[in-house]
Amino acid sequence: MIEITNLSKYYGRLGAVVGLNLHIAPGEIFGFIGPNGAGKTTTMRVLATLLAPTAGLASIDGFNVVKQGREVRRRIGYMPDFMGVYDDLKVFEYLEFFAAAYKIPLRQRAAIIDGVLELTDLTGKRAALVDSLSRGMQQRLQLARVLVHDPKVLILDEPASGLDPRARIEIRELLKELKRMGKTIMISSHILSELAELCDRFGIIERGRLIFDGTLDEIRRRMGLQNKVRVRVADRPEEAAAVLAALPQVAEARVVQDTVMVTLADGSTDAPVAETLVRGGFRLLALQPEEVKLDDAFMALTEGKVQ
Amino acid sequence: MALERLAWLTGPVFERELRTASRRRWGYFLRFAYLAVLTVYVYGVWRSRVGPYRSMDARSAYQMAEVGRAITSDLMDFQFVLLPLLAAVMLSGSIGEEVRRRTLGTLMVTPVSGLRLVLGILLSRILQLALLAAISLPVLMVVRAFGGVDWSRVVGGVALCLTTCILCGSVALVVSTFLRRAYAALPATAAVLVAAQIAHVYVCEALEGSAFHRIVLLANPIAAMESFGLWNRYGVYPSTALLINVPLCLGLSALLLAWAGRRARKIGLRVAMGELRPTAKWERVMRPRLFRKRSEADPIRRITGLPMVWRERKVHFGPSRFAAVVVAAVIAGTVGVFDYVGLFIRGADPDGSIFSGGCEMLFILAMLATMIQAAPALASEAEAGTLPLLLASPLSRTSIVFGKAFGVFLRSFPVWGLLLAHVLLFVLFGRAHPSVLLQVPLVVMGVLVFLAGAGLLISAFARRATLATVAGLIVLIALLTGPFLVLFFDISPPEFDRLMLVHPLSQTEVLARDAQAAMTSALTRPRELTSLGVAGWVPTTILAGVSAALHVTVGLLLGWAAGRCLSVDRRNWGIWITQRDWFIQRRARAAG
Repeated sequence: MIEITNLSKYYGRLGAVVGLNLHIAPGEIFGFIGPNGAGKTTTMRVLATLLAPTAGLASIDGFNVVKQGREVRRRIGYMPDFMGVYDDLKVFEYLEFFAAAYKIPLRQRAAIIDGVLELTDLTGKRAALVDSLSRGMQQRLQLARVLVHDPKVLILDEPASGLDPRARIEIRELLKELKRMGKTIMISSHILSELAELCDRFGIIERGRLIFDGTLDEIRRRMGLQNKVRVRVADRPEEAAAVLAALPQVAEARVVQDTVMVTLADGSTDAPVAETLVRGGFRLLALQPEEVKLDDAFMALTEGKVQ
Repeated sequence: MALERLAWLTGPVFERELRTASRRRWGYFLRFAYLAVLTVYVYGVWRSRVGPYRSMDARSAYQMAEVGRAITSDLMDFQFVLLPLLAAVMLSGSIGEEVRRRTLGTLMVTPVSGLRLVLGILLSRILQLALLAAISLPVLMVVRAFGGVDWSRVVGGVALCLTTCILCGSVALVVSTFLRRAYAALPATAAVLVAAQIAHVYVCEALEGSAFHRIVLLANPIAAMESFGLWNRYGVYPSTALLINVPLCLGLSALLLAWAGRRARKIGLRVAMGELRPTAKWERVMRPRLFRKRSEADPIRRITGLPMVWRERKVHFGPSRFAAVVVAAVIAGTVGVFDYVGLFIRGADPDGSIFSGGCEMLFILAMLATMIQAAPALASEAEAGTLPLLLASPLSRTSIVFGKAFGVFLRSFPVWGLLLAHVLLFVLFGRAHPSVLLQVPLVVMGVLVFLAGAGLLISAFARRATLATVAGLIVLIALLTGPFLVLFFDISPPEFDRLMLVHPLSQTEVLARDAQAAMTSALTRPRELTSLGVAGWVPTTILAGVSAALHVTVGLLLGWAAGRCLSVDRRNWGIWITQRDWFIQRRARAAG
């Protein structure tokens, strides 16, 4: 659905985005992560046809963002990181303004707007003035705005920034609903734990370059976490660690705060670990693969450098 | 030690302003523009002053000294007019800018007092103006070689000019604490200064013959400056003028600054308390009466037609814009009253000056109102963060610009309406030919489209609405005065005189005089038309139509360029950067 090939955007000599390659499949939710100033917003602005790339190609649904900008704009819903609202307009009027901008016929507008208001749980605020809404509600209104013309692709730049936990959860639930509706979503956020729950795939960008593109499993592999298993036994963890360390399928076993951290040998599974412990008379409480935390992955993969 | 004492006077705000001034591009642009205008001016002065002696084989030392004195006087006049004007422009949005950046609240919770804040801002701007004044020093050094130039007069003139800058800047600072937007504060500052000038004339007349007359007279910097010129009308020694005027101006400035500082502190504390847009007291009192806030109970308005046009029709007519229009209306009303009272007293308009002069004044006001509406139109969308939403929608850039232009027409029309009403009144009373009812609207249409296009183009470039407004007003003043200055200094080819007929201000005045001449045998037809061989109302109307078409065409082109330059990235200086990007892409493609 979204194809980016060797995309570069320079401001003078400063390369905001350098040789970016990306492919996002239809119906996929892609999490775009990176430090401030890494080039996320620039990439999203290029996709939203707001900026012309210096070099490279970008297309959405087969339409080139430079040459077929109008077609692209019809197919996307773009939510910028900082969005303004027209004060003195009511919620319905605000949405109808954009519905008119997307050339939705007058007769269909009311039904469509009521639909998106219901989806974003703003039906009760239909007649409220836009500037009287709370930050969370304004954010939901922005999501309603990008849905007015039923776009195939949503480009959401930090949709949850500055929101309280309740509003963030509401936005997350809304995005899950949109995922169920089959929308392709490219989303950037600093709240990585939420992205981990929501996204199918992640891209990590730093200093304008994509340094990682893949799923959580691929992050596990990249960080060398695929061989790690956490084992919890009811008692005698040190003894359990010694037993496991003697197995040929285990490269290393050590105790960290009552938990036995087991590193499996290459090509091995965790089945012999459980079997050995049960046979050895240990009461096995838990055996689980080491979880990957997106925050840790982010810290491990990036250097924290900006342009 | 002395410097440390001076540091108390200036404080951290002054230091901050000095540090950031060198990083601002507009500072360099301002100096470049000033130098360019000064160069043209010096050339004009040189031509007009040295020209009469060109045919002589040898120039006497006396003549050279006379030329030297004249050039020095002209240069001092130039600085005296331009620098205080720049001081007002630079300071009219200063407090509003601090509010917008939320720095006022932060500053006001530190030990920095309101007075130190306004002093820091004022002195940093005055320092920049002093730099501009220093630019003309090399010219004065050269002129000194001619002889006849008294350095004490030059130094005194510059001192007087800078104290006038401080006074005008202080007035602008006080006004900026009442009106947050530069496009409202700037005309209001101008109105205050003009009102003070008019009041001074009346006070001087009232005190004629008294002991205080001379002191009150010299309290006005313009009167004091006259003593430094070639025609010392009041026969006052420059040193006397300086001794009276400078302390008075500085004293008045100190009072104004204390007031501005007190008000700035109050506003700053409200910003610190979390008010995003602290309003002045008059606004809080007037707003509920004039601008009723819509409530949930009000009916929802359905959108019909083009969305941008609908939006401009329903746009919130805010207090700042309202204040700008009120200032324009008050000035227009004052002009009208003087005009019509003069007509009533004299019983007629024997030389046609009341009709044509009124047309000119109202025309200038309407042009100012149009530019004040057009220049911030797109920049305010960018500032509010709504521009990316519009640009990411299928709305074409042309339709965005068209919608904005429609808003400019709509909101500036009341002021243009005053001009049309003025013309209609004279036609109804049989004092002007009815053809002017067709000619003036033609000129108005051309100018309206031209100014809307020019203002929107400036707006497409500017990062902030305030900056756009100031730039728009500077461009408008340059367009209005530039051609007349060229004529005044006689540095143009003979054909330029005819070209001036295309200048809308000149054209309106000529058309008004022609319309009166057609009705009164005592008046002669304007020389500008007879020299072209244009006789009768039909050719004159065609001429007005052609000029209007020219202005409309240029205005549309400027509007189109504004659409092309419209970008979310204000660093991306529009079409030029786009073209540069295109070249880079082409080079990259060529390189494979």
